[in-house]
Amino acid sequence: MSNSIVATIYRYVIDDVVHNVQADFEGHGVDTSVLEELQRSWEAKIVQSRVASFPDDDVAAIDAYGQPAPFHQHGGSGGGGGPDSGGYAAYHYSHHPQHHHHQHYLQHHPHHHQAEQPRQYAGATEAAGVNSAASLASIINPESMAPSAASLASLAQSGRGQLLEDDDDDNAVAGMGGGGGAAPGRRYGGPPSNVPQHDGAADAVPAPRPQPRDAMAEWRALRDERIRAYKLAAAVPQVDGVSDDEDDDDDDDASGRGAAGVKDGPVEAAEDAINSDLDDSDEEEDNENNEDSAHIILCQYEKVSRSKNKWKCVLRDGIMLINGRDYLFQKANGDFEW
Amino acid sequence: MPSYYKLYQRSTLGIALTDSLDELIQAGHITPQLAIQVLEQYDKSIALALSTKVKAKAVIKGNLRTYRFCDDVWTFIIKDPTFKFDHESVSADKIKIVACNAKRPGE
Repeated sequence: MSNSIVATIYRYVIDDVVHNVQADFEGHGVDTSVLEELQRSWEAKIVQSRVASFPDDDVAAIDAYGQPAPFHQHGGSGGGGGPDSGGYAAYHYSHHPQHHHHQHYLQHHPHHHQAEQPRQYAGATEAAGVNSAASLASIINPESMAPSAASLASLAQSGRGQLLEDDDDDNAVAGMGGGGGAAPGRRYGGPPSNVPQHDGAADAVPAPRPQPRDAMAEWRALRDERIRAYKLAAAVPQVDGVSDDEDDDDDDDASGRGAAGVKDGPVEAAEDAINSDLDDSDEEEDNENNEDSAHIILCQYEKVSRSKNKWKCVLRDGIMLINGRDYLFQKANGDFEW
Repeated sequence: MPSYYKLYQRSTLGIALTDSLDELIQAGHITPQLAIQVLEQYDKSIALALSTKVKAKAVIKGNLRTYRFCDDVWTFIIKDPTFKFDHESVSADKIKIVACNAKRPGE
């Protein structure tokens, strides 16, 4: 099974990264316990995401104690484990929080995993709205410094959660609209110079040492890039059309022609004219948008060729996320018909 | 030193790492510079792992719905794709493919 190598590769990458950044951590004067925490947290998230077949022991260990058993002590694949033994926070795909797991988990490690809590709820339809509202409230209130750090994380998470999960849960989109929409705007939007002042990185985080602003801005820019990439992914089919218009295209084409010309100028009207032939596909593509982030292949191309309507692609070094599982390939051939 | 694509930061593994790093930044345990260094190491590690450790081959078929070539990146949206691996087949209703140039500029 192609999926079975994923766990091995991921472990290799985690180990390789951790091993190679040790010197960087030392160079920054950061204790190795932080690096261990990074590894633990990273591994836990991967196990929780359930994109690969990790030994069930790992999953069960996380559920019960909030800490994964070390990867390397589990050679083979475990046989036991109930169907829900890992599911308190499959953070990409679980739409149904299992609250008893949460409580159990938080009782054991209320402090360590403070920052992970928002993630778990971000995936939940009903809890997300509450969470976002609470987060916003805590941001507005300047005195709640400590919570606001977690709140920022939750805001960001809400935003991503929305982007990732709006495929099949319209209620989630509606419920999270406020928080999810506000997060990128507040946190990632605007020129970089505004960012540190807006969300108050400096005032919210009791940093042990001063953090130069440009580095924080750079980090934000990286995250910004990622968030935008998701949005871009969702927006690809819309780029050529009246992207933000939720109305039926019929309106624009029939009655809105004159108004559009006056309001938006000839360029917009020209796009309308081109797009008017594609009314049907627009509607379908609206549906496509929502699922873009659910199934994705990240890879490199060696060759892309087309003959009439037949496309051939030679791809390599790919990570595929399909139906909630990750797959890897060294080489893939794509045969597509347009 | 060769540069590596940041493409794989959008994978499950990359997102998990970024989230973990962000938590450490928010908690004040590490600086953003250090986090960026870790991500750069990740770019390198995942790229090398994919090119040297993974042997699986796949065949992807489907209906090409949308294609785009911008900034040397191909983006495809495939409708009703099927994926054949060595011992396994998977299908989905739709998939998006994001592909960077295997030949990086300067190579």
